[in-house]
Amino acid sequence: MNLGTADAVSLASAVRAGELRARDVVAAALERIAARDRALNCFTAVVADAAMAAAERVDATVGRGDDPGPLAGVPFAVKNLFDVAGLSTLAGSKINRDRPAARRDAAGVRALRRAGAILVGALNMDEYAYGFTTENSHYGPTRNPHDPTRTAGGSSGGSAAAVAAGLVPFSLGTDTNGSIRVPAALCGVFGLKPTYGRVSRVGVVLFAPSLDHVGPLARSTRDIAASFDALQGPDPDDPVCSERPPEPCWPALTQGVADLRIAVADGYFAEGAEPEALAAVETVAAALGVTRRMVVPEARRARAAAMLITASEGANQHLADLRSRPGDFDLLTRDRFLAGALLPATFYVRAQRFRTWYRDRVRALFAEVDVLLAPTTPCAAPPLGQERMLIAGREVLTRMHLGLYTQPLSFIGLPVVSVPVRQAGALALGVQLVGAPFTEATLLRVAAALEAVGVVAAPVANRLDTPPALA
Amino acid sequence: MGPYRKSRLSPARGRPMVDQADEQAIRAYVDEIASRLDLSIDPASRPLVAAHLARLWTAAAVLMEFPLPEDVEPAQVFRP
Repeated sequence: MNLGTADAVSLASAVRAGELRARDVVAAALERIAARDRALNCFTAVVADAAMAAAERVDATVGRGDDPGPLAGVPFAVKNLFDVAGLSTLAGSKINRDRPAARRDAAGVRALRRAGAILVGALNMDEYAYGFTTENSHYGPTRNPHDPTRTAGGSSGGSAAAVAAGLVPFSLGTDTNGSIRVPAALCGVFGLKPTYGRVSRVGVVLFAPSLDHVGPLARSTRDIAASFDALQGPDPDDPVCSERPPEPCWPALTQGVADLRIAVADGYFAEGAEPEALAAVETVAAALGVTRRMVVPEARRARAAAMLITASEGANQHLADLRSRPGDFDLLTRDRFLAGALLPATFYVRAQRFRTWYRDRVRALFAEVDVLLAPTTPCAAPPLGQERMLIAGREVLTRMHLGLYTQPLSFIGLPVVSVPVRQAGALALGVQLVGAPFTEATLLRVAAALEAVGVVAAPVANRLDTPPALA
Repeated sequence: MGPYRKSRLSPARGRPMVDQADEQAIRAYVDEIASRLDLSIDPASRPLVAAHLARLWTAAAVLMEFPLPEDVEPAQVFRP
């Protein structure tokens, strides 16, 4: 088994069977990180000693004949807004360096450790998650493993790039307006933004509490299913966490799609994109035999409302620091937070009321369809530092435009899997598989079916020096 | 509030809520409200904050012009 390309499920199976030692799996991951992360800048902390100690414990468990967990020995890393006991939870900021170290792991980290996975470090992100490009002035940008002159996307850029480069098989990120899906798409990996409230947010530095979600990124559908199944479920300590019992995705993963009603999202989701982004959706649609198209009503307004809620809630989270130490913020986030702090309340309230209306309209849509297909981003990864770009003949602001298709969906907490469409000789592009609330298992069945026929895949990117030839 | 006397929430008139050329008015709004919220904005940042606010205000125009029925309640539900 190639430890650098094997997925989490393969590694765990081998460790559980005693064919591989967890300490060898983790040591190999730490070597890959040491060799390649400098060029990519995914990690802000590597916890090598703690990881090796945890690996030894897994090996001892296996040696005793006890169950080490379904993800035994698998290295993983988390966006640095997840609490990790003993580390300062940076949330991409300089300000949070001054806070005491976390005393307890975030709920998601605890869940994955209970499943036997081994935390190896914390990952770079846009400051306080307010970005789509992981261009962080304090810790540097995270580079796209497919082309290091380009962004890895954000705000979970480190989470996506670390997986895309094969440094770890899976990672945790968060998604408020697209921050798992955008980097997953731009880095060519799978990313799951679950239903709002499906995964506990305890121990996560929140950005916009109405919209924040926790979810995994990985290079295979079964890794997404395995990690999500370890994460999902009620948490009485999280006020927005659903009380619904977990609904495992693993058992039905290979069930196929014959019984599913699938449509391409038309209107808003079919306009304003570069041709290759729309072509990726058509590729997925063709593979699934989908000809039906449906319009999601008022998606443009949903994006506007999401922006207003994000700006207002985000600003309020950081108001004390904006007052006392504005100079310590990243320039790319501070002025946007300041603007958000000045918005009239009537906009925020209206956005939350519109959210109710829109949720009800989209709920009605999902009575007629099981899965909608939409582009994840309007284009492939832009170059780092690019302020403006031409999309479908129109000049737009690069960073905020990356969330064009993700924002209207996270706005109402719908589960979405971004799948990486195979693009030989071209930059990575993602397609969103969108479902009704709590239908992650259905979405992953679709992802698995696409993977089985080779339409979506996430091979490890290892072309750090040579940008791919563009088609 | 001074700068917005001429810009109204008026879907019927079809005008945007903010005259996009009215940078001065937005900056004056930023200065006034920021100071009342104890937010000091670096002079170099004033135009950037104003530009961000103008974009958010444009998003608000898109939202506010939608004829939302009166009985639609905010999404959050408080449980005492």
